[in-house]
Amino acid sequence: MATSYHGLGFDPAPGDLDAVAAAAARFTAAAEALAGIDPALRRTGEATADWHGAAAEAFRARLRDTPAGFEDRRLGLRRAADALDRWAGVLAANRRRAEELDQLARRLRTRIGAALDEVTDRRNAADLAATSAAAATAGADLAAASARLTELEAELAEVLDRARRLERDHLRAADACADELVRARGSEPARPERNPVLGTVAGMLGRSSRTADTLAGLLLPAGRPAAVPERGPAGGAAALAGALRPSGGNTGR
Amino acid sequence: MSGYRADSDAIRTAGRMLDDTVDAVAGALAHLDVGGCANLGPGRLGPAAAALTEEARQDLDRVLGSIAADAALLRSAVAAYAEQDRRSADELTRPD
Repeated sequence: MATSYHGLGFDPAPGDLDAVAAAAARFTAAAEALAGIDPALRRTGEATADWHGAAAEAFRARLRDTPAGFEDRRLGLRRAADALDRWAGVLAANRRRAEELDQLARRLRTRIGAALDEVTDRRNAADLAATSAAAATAGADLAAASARLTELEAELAEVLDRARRLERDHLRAADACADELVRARGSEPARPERNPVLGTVAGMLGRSSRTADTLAGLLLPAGRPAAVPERGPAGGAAALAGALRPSGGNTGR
Repeated sequence: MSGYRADSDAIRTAGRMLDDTVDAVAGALAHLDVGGCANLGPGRLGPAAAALTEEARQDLDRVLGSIAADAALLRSAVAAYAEQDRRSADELTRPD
């Protein structure tokens, strides 16, 4: 069931628990159906063991040719169902967390609305102050109201930041489950290739300074050396320009 | 060996075993719907589940057709033996 996160403005933990449970049940049922095939073929062979003659031999040959040996697929489906069960636990916890954060954000937005009204009222009072003493008091009240508003906005920003972190963690967990499903098919999860231009830029930055080393590390996959062109223009901007320029193109003006 | 030996009841029983297996596989197959992989979560999760579902569907579909054909052949073998027996009886009991 879709949930509206009006406080956060986005769903940090997408996924439907019922859909996940149903998918796990489907994989389990398919695994059980596959598990029943080999024994059924064996029992059929035993039940017809006393059947002899040309027809019996022809049938036994057909039985031998019946697709069987689905053990890997059966185990893969079991593994997939287990992975989805684990994902259901993560999904449920993340959705609870998302709802908590959404409630916090809703309350903060309500308080921010009230604080905005308060600032407006205080500003009007300051504008309409008839005496210097009244103006000083109104000015102080306005400053306090503005400070409360700023504080509430910072609290909301913090809640939204926590929701974005939750969203990133949620995506990572979902991708980990997806990798399990890929392995359940007997494959290895494909790793997305990084942009080669970014790799080149990262290599150049990595040579230039410690700060740039950090940036380079962020751009490069772990354990992969940066591709550094053998020749290139000196200077950071020129290096970036050189890296982004298509190879073999005209570099002169 | 020459000739044949056939116990129709045993062959019928074997056919029913295969029919039961066909029912079980068809039941699992009916629920293996790629469309059911929507809304599982973000990222690559839905496509990964859909790919596994599709491969499992293909496996089950392949074996389902083969076992259903085996079961049908057993039924037809039993019917053929019965028909052969009836014809032989007719031949043997026909007045000269």
